[in-house]
Amino acid sequence: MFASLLRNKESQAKHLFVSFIPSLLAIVGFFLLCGLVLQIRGQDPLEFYTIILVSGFASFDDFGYVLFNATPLIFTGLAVAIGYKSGLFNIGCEGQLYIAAFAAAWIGIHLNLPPFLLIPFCIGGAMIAGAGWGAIPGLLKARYGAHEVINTIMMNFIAFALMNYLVTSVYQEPGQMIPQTQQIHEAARLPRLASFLPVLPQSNPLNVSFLLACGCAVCCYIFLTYTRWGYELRLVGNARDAAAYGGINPGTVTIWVMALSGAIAGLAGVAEVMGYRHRFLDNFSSGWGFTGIAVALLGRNNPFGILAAAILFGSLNKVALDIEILLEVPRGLFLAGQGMLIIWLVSIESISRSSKD
Amino acid sequence: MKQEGSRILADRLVSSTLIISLLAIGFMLGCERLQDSSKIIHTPEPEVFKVGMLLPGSISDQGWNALAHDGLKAIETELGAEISYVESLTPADWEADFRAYAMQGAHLIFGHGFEYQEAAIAVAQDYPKIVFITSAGASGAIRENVAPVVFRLEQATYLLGMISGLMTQTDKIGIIGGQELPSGSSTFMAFEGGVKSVNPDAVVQRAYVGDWENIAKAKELALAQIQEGVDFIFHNANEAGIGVFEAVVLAQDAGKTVYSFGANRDQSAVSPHAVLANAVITPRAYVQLATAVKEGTFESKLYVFTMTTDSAIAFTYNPALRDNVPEAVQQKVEEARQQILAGELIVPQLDFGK
Repeated sequence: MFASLLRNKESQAKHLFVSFIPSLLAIVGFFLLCGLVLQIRGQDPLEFYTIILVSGFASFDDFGYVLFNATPLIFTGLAVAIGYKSGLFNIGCEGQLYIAAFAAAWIGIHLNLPPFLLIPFCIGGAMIAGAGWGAIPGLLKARYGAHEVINTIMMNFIAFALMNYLVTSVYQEPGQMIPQTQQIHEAARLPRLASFLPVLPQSNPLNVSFLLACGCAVCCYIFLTYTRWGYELRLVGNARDAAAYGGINPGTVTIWVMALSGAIAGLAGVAEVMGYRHRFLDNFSSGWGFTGIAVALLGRNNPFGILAAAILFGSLNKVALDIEILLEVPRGLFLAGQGMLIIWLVSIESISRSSKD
Repeated sequence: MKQEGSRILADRLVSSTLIISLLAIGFMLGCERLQDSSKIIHTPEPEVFKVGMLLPGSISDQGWNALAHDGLKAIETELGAEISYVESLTPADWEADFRAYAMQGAHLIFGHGFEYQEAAIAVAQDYPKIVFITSAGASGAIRENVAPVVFRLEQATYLLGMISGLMTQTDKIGIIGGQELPSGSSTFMAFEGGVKSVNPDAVVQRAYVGDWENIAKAKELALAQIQEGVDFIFHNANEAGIGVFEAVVLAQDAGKTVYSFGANRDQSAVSPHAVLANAVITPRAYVQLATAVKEGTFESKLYVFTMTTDSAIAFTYNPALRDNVPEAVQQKVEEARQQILAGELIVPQLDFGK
């Protein structure tokens, strides 16, 4: 029905819609599976579906939490997508965002400047740190052909260990047992949206970093679609040899794409340190860098698709907590479900591709 | 042409499945919502007292988490509260879990562990009407709506020490701890004080597992102590303490007279042949706190629970093994207990939590 309706419309719009069908199917499958598991556990799946709706969308406060959860995932999703468009698989977002978060915290603690200087300094410093951490595997790939998947994973471990060391022995808040730094200056903090939007209660942690994330998605779209660099990036991803023949140096592109990807992943760390916790806490990220891969896949590497996918995952994270509290269903169910979602997505995609051939 | 036809078919198939499943879910949701809203219109529910709890481990650990869960259950039955708990294990979860309870309209949220203190303070700023209570906290954590709670087991562990000091045949007594923390060390200090008060010659040796879960390692440590002639072992190692009981049972099977004690929770049932007596945090502590919050008499201060505060801490025998404790020993312990309750006997302990 939908398909026949759309056939009369522009083929581009149809193509876009069709490209999202696997995502939608996977999401539906995910919810049906969770309901089935609950049915087997002897619980009412209807109650679960109600909680899904009420949990994330019953009030502005609830929705604020959803967007708050989504914020870091928008950044990591975009970071993965930027790499993917250029044929690079950046699995190192987790490490990059830790390094960047620490850089933001360090600058925010040690520099004493007015907000209009300190905030750009912190964000810039964090992006540079994330870019540097991402550029290393890019450089290794361009120069020596070392596979970026392996190297970004390994860089994660180095980042985790380095952060753990710094925050437990060098920069730990004095008199605290918890591995965290002291708080950053007031001037380096991004305000909560509740201070501008009266519909949000003051307790809602949604902050300016969400706007930054939306802006970042728009910038990524423009960058990929309308700029020369975006064209080079996509060309290297689609036809490396043709790009080289056309005068583009794929090695150079690889390095700066990885750096750019790392910088965007680093903004997830900025959101945490400057927008929410106002300090660096060891292990603060609950796998945002890895969830970013799922977000990018679900959003078909389209910046606006990623925005939607991140919001979906943000609401899932909120639902996961609420069902644990209200239905005593362990949140592990949702983690497993998210894994299934990605597997379905990839399978549906390859099935539809093979049926087209 | 044929290929085109099959593609259209596939397209239709895909989109119709999609639409049907979406409709189905929408329909189910719609029905449920309708029921919900009718419920709300016709029977306005009275405000239920809601209590949430963050736990650092499984409620089946027979110790620290289990006793908190007991307390939560007691709040449910005695105050008619709506209760819920989550295992909140990683730092990234702590604040999120506190917030999730706050969003669900909880009136009181427990963070059952020292580690939750900072997260509770951070979230409490945003929810001034909700009370946050963190176990094993320090007075530095006191805020308008945040109160730390300290359970002082020392008076009870002193009595356990007395039993071991009076009953030991070898004058060697063992202690096994989880990690070396002030709260644990203080219970050991009191235990040693109890031993020395009746048997100055006895040697008390301490060993630490290094964590609170490693049952196998605790068992090895206990076996090593028994090998050296220790015949009474006190543990304060949470779940790992189960390993101590296993070692004691093993030694008993080999014909030795060895006993151990339960800590934090009445562990008589966990190992009926190994546990002679217990130093227990009773659910009373939780009920008292929750009652104070419910009735609006809650104060932001450091709450300290001891044996003298409405039996929030208790000393209990394992009923199955009580006859193995000589009458004279039971009498002496009871005398000391009365002195403690009357405030005449001050038990040695570490000063922490300030």
